[in-house]
Amino acid sequence: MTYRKDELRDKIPDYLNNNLPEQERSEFERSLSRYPDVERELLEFSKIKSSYAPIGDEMPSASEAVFQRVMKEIRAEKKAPVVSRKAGFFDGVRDFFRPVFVSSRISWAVAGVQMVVILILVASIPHPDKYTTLSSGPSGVGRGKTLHIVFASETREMDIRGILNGIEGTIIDGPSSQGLYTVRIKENKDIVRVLEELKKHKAVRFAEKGFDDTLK
Amino acid sequence: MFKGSSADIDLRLLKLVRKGDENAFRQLYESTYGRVALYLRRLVADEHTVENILAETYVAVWKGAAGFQGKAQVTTWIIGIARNIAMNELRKFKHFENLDDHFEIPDNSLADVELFDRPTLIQEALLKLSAKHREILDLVFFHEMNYPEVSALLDVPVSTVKTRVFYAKDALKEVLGNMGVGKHDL
Repeated sequence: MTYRKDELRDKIPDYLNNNLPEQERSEFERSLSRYPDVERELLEFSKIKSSYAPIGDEMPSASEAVFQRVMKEIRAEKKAPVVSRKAGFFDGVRDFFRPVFVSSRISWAVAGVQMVVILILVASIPHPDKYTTLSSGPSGVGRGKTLHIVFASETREMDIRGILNGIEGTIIDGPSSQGLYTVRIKENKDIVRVLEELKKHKAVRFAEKGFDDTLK
Repeated sequence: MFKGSSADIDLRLLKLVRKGDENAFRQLYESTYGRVALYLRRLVADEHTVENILAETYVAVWKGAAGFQGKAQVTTWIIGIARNIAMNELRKFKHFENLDDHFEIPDNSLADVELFDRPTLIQEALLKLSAKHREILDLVFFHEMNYPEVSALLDVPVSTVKTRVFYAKDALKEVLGNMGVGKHDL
């Protein structure tokens, strides 16, 4: 095997530094004769290398002063107290959640759990089997019959009380923004008669059965 | 005392340094100091700065012993550390050696030149090269590093190292010519 010219040039430093194995070294020398310009370069580099010999002889000896400086610094760092502060509550919380922010896998897992919780909550919302209206409100709560009454706007409170006492009614809701009262009367009362009685009063503009009672 | 090649001994010492062995650290320091100091002296002009860089380098060696991956020889690794620190220093203070200020070769220097032997002349010419060219020749022919080692040290491709070596030689011939030495005398 013979080396190409560029291979030969690349091996010049290794040849001069005695870093080539014996076989490669022989091959290098054999190939050299084919390339006089590489041979000339080898000679030039060998002169450069030879010029370093005196420098090698003047190798500086290890400085004790520098070594002592180095050791002083190393020992000072060993002795230096480790600065730390007491971990507070928020540090604990932050450390606890750090993996969540660091690991995308954990973040996705947390998002998945949140999604499952949301689906469970949505699925568990009760679906009422009957519709309610705004007017039904709490009027159906408790025992008795309910009425919806609207009094004239100029009616005094005292007169309203008097009318309601006359039918033994109790205000359970209202007045609304439109002046609607929801009133409960006793179960045994005849609601039709009560309504007739109410409608006799000039102060009563409107009197009808409550929504729940209308359905009965 | 360890037996074996200098590189093997350095490696074994470094392994002890990893464990905090101060005696091994001293031996490693004494074994490698000369090459590292010489490398720095040819890169940085000011001796005080060289000492500072050396101190910083060996502190880094102590701290970073565990990080040595064994891809190069221990001395090469230490020179690499020293070079990084030196480059940072140079960026701060611009201490790059300007040897033209120190070595003024007279125009009619041919007579003087004849008084010196060839190695001395070449070394003087080397000192007049740019730091980049001088460094590459130092690393290859004095520190005897191979191309991949130099490539790793300088953080440049191997092809760049090869090219730079030949450019540096041509530059050296040019400087020798300017010193009154025939270019072909190299």
